[in-house]
Amino acid sequence: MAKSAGSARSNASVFDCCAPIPYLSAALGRRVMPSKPSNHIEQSFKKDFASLKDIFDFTSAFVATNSLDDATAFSIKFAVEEIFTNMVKYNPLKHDVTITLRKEDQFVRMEFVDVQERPFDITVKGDVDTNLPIEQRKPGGLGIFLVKKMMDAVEYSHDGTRSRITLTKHLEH
Amino acid sequence: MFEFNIDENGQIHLSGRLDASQAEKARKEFEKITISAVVNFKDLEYISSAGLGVLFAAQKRLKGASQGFKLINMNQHIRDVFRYARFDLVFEIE
Repeated sequence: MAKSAGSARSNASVFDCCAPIPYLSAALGRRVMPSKPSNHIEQSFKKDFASLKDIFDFTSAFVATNSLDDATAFSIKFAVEEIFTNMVKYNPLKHDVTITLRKEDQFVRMEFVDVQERPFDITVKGDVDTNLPIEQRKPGGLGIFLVKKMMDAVEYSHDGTRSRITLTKHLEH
Repeated sequence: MFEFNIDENGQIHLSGRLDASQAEKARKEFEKITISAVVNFKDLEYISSAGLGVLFAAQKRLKGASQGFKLINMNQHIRDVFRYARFDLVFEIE
C-alpha cells in the first residue's frame, strides 16, 4: 500500500488522489512522493479536545470526497473521534497525532500515529458488560467498546516510541 | 456547537454535536435535572461515548430517586449507538 511521505499539519489536508503540486510541496517544505492513485488524506492534529471540530471537518471531507453512505460515514466519524479522544485522555505527551484515512475498493482504513513511551494496547481493552443492570454499570469505558462494534478490524502496534492504531471498515457494494 | 435548552413544558432539547469537548458543559446542565423529563434528540447530530457517559450518569442518579429520562426523536445513527451500548435497557426510548 503506497503511502505519502508528507505529513500535513493542521488545516493543510493532502488528497493524493490528485497529482502532487510541486510548488505547493516546496512551499510547505515537505517532499510529496508520487504514489498510485488512491483516495488518501492525512493530517496532524494538536492533541487536545479543541481539535475535535477540525477532525470532524477532516473526516467529513473524506467521506464526502469518497461518496460513502450515511451509515458508513457515521461509523467512520465516530471511530476517528473516539480513538483521538482516547489518545487525548490517556497519553499526556503533547505531540501531535497524525491521522490517515484511505479508501480502497473494498474497505476504508484509518491509521493513527501518536508518540507514546509505553504501549497502550486498545485491542485488549474496552470489554464492557452491557447486560448489567443500570445499578451495576458505570458511565465510562464505552468508547473503545463501540469502536470495536462498528469496525471490522482494530489493530495496535508500538515501535518503541510511537503507538500506531489501525482501523478497518469493510464497504458494502 | 452543542446546545442544551429546556422549553416551557420542561422538555429538554439537545442540539448540535455532543462530543468530548462538550461533555463538561452537558454534565453541568444535566446535573440540574432532578425529576423525570423528556429529552428531545431531534436536533442532535452526533453523540460520542463521552456524551453517552453524561446521559448515563444522569439517568443512573435519577433512577436512584425513581425518576428517569424518556428519549425521543433520535436519528437512526444515534439510535444505533444507543443499541450497541445496550442503552435501550437503560433508557425509555421512543
